[in-house]
Amino acid sequence: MKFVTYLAKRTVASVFAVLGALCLIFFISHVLPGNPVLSRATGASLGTIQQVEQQLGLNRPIGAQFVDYFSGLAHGDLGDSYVTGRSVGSDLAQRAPASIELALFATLLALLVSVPLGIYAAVHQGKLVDRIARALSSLAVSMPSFWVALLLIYVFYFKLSVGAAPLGRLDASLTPPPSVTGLYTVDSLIDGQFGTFVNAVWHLVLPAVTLAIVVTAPLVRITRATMLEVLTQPFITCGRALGLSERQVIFHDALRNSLASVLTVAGLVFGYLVSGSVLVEQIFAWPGIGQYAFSALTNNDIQGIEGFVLVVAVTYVGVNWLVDLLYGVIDPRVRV
Amino acid sequence: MSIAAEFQVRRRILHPSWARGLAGEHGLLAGLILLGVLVLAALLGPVIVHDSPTSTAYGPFSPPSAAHLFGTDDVGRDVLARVFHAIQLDLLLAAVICVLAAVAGAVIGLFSGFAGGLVDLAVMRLVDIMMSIPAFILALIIAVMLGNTGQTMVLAIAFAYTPVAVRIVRSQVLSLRELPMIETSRAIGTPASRIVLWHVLPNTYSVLIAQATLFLAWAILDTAAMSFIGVGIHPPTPELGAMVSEGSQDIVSGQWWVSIFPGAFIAFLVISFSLVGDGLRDYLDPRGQR
Repeated sequence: MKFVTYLAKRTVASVFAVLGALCLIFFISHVLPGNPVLSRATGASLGTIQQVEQQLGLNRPIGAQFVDYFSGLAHGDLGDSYVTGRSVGSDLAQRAPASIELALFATLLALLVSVPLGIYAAVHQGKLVDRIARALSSLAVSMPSFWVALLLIYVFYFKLSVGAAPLGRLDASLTPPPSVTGLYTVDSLIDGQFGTFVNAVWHLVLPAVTLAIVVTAPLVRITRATMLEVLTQPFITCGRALGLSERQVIFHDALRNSLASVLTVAGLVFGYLVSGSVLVEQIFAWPGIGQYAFSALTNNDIQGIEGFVLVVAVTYVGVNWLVDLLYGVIDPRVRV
Repeated sequence: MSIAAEFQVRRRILHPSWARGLAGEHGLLAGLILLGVLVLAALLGPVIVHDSPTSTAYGPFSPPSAAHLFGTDDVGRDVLARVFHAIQLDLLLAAVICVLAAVAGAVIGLFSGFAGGLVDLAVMRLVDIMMSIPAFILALIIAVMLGNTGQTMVLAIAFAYTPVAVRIVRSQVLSLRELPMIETSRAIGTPASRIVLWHVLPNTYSVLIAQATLFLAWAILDTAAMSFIGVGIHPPTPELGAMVSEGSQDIVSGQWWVSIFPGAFIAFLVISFSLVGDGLRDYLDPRGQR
C-alpha cells in the first residue's frame, strides 16, 4: 500500500469517526428523554415550557432538528448558548489556547520524566529500579487528578508559599501579552516581556505537574515495554557484537526504534489532556475549554455541553490522525 | 491457539492452583490484601466509630485528634465516619457499574462475534464511534442529559464502559470460534445456542473477569470525579469525590484534612482494584506472560 493510499484511508476513517461522534452527541442531547427546558425551569407552567420550546425549535420533528444541527455545523456554527446567549463556537475558540498551552506543557513534562524512566527500567529489567518505576507509575495512575491538584496547592501554595495562587494563567496585576498564538508563554516572548513569561510559566507549573503525574504511567509503561521488545531483536545483538558502546546501542538503535510507539501514546495523552482537564482547570481557575464545560454542566447549558463534546471528539480523532501520519514519517515500513 | 494451549487454558480455569499461582503474583496478592482491608473498614468502621456521618455536632474544622482521627469538616461532621460510609457507597456504585458494563459487553460481544457479517460490522463501527469520545466525557454528558442523579450517573458510566467489554469478548469469541473443540461440537450437531452458552462463553470469563476488575478501578475514579464536579451523588450524602469537593474551598486556608483523607481512600481503592485486575490478567492468560 502506498503512503498516499494509507493516508487517504486514515483520513476517511477519521472523518467518519467524527461524523459518527456527532450523530451520537445529537442522539444523546435531542433523543434521550432529558428535557433541557424542563430541567432548567423547575416550577414553570406547561404553557411557558411549550412556548420556550417553540422559541428554541425544540418542538420540531427530530429529523428537522437533525438537519438544522448538521447544516449549522457545516457553516461552522455551533449554535448559541441557551443560557448565556453567546456563540458557543467563539467562546470555545477563545478558550482553546489556554487548554492547549496547559496540555502541551503537561505532555512535555510527562515525556521528560517518563521516557528516561522507562528506558532505565527496561535496561535494568527485573531489578529494584524497574520494580520501583513500575510501582510508582501504578500509584500515579491511581490517584484522582483533582486530589493531586489539591495536594499540590496545599503543599506548594499554602505550606511552602512557592507556588502560584490557583487563580488562572497570570497574576491579576499583569495584562496578557498581545495575542499571536494565544499561548501566553510564547506570546510574551515574542513581545519581549520576560517578566510576563516567567509569571505565565509560574502559573503553569502546578496544573501542568498535576496532569503530568496522571499521564506518566502509560508513558513509562509503553517506553519500557517497547524498549524491552526492541532490545531482544537480532540487530541489537549484532550491534553489541560489532563492539558498539552500550550507550550507542540503547540510545541510538533501540530508542529510535521505540519512538513510534511512544509517540502514539504521547499523542493519545495530549488529546486526552486537551479535553480531559475539566476537573483540573476548574480547581486552578484555568480559563480553558474544560472550565467552560464545567460551567455549562452546572448551568445545564445543553448547547455549551454539545459544543464541548464536539471539540473533544474532533481533537481526539484529529490527534490520532496526526499521529498515524507521523508514524508513517518515522517508520518507513508503514509506507510500503 | 494450539490444542495444547487450549488444554492449558481450560485446565487453569477449571483447576486453578491458587496457592502456587498467587504466591508468584505479588501484585495480585498485595491488591487482594489491600482490598480486604478496605472492605473490612467499610463494613466494620461504622460499628467501631459511633459518630454519625451526618451529625454536625462536633464543631467545625477541628484538626485530626484522638476524638476525631480525620478531623471534622466545615459544618462540624466527623470526616472518618463519613469516609467509612462513603467507601460503602462507592464500592456499591462501582460494583453495579462493573456488572452492568460486563454483562452488556458480554451479551453484545458474544452476539456480534458469533453472528459475524453485517451485524458484527455495524456493532464494531458503533463501538469505534463510542470510543472516539473519552469515556469520562461521554458518561458525563449522558448523566447530565438524563437528569443528573445517582442512578443516571451509574447508567451513563456503565454505558461508556460497555464498548471496551464488547471488544474484548468479541475478539475472544473470534479466536474461540475457530477452535477444534467448537468444530467438533458443531459436527456432532450441538445447537448454536448451546455452543455459545456452554463452550464459548465460559472461555471468555478469564479475560472478562480481569477487565471487569479494571472496570471497578475506573468506576471508583469516575464516580468520584463526577461527584466532585457536582454530577451524580450530591452532598450531604457521604461520597468520596463529593467530600473532596466540599473540602476543596478550604484547602487554601490550611484545612487539608477535609479533602485529603477522602481523596487518599479513592487512591487506595483504585490501586487495590488495578493491582488485582492486572494480576488476574497475567495469571489467567498463559499467553500474555511477560
